[in-house]
Amino acid sequence: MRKLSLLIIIIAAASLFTIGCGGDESVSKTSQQESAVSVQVSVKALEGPIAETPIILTSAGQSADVKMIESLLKKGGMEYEINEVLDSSGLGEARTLVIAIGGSSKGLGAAGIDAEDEIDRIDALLKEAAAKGLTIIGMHIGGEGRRGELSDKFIKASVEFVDYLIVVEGGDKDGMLSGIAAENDIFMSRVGSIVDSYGALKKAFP
Amino acid sequence: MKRKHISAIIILIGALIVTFYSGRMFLSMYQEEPIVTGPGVSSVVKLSTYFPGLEGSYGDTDVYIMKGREPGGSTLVLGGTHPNEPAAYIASVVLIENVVVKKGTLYVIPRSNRSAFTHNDPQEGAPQRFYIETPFGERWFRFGSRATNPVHQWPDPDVYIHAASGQQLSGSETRNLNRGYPGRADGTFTEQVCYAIRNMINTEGIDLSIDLHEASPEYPVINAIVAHERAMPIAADVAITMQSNEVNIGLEPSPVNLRGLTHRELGDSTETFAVLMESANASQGRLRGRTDEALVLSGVDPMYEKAADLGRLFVPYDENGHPLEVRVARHLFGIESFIISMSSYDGNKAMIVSEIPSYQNMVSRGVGAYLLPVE
Repeated sequence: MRKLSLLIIIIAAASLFTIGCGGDESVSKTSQQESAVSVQVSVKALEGPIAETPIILTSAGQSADVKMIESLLKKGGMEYEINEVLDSSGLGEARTLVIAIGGSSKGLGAAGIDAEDEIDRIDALLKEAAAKGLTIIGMHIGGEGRRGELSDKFIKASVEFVDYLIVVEGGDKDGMLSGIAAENDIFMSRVGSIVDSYGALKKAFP
Repeated sequence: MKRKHISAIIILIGALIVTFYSGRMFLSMYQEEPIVTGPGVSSVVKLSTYFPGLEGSYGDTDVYIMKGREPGGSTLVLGGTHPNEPAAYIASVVLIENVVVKKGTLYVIPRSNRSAFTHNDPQEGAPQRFYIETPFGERWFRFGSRATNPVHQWPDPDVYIHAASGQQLSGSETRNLNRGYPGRADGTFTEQVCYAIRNMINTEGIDLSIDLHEASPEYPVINAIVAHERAMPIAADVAITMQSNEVNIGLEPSPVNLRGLTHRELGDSTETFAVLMESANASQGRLRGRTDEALVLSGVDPMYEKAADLGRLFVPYDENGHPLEVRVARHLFGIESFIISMSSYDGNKAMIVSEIPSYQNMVSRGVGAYLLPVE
């Protein structure tokens, strides 16, 4: 009886081990191959200037990407103001709204707001900017790292309102951003790196 | 009855042998690995110089000072805040053994939480040491714990209340150096180490403080810089520089309501530009498979490859893993970029530092090529 119990325990343990360590190799390799393929959606390229200064720069999602865009604007000598938590009453004399798209839980914490409040702010701001005739330029420069549940909320809340979208290509591997741009007839530039994004931004100005 | 006595004696002897050997293994973690003083080191002082209360304790650790001939800005690099994050420690050792400062002063504390090097985390199955091949033979380094050794600070409270803010965290965080800032002279052992580091920054007027870390691949803030708001313009510049050189790194602001961390407290309580850098370390993650020296060195882990396929990670993960030399190279590239960026941001804080191994050289030649022979 003892030997039988021992045998059953050994078989059960071996089965568990096999399940635990066993190979979905074919599954994981397949999904690995799938994830390596980037989705390409054709989008409308920007052919000439559509924006004018002064620029007001804000964030959609409170990531520090807005600071990197500020650094590029400063180095490029462009005239701008920055307000990461700009509300719809603060557009002032700006003629172009540049919005840095991408969520950061640390950034939201730093600003003392939650994701839902941030979405409400962006929604009101973008609607007001459109009503006032401002050119709206969206920049997603964080690549793959600035995608995921939190960032995607801000992408969905903002991209359809922009006139021109600049994306560092790692952030659009699944074609989500270019899909929204194509659907909404938005000009879009895919660039290789954040430094290239400044060239794409500059193209929008005379 | 006699048989029972014999069994009891055998079990007792067995227990004593296990206790003896495990005790020896535990105590062996107190032996410090050699760090070779490089050509650029002008002096080595103890942290207790800045807070005598630490003198003679396991909180008292070496501060390596590399002073240039020309006065200029100053930078502090903290390695070993969490000794289970080896790239942070090794990057600081590479600085000590290689770097020459021509203008300004570089301070490096490789074992910021020295006590945490004297044990590793129970039930994690982590190796005690890892070995790096060099042209002169093998060098060894300890893989320690995230927290101060309980031998040096005990017991943990049920709830850790951060003294400066009243923030509540789980009790074990009371031994986490990166939750204890700005520290207190009359606080816990860990808080006293924090206090000494803060005093050092204030006493020396250190312009830039870089706290090196690693994070598990499933943690959202990874391959990233976290910067205090005053340091943000410099950090943005560094992130752009690194990304332009195809080193993918994110930038995150230091939350004002997350207290006790270097990037918040050192930025608030001193004049330093406070930043923290993270690289990807599978050997401290929760999803890892076999935890051994190979994992520490190569970062190759089939479990993390699967997690990446399932979209559960915040860094790309494939069969190449995240090798130690790449993680160290990222930190060194970040440090060099910060020094250059600070120098152009404020000419009064300019530094000229040479012999930091380049990213490409560190990745292609490996860490061992930049470690000196132990005499």
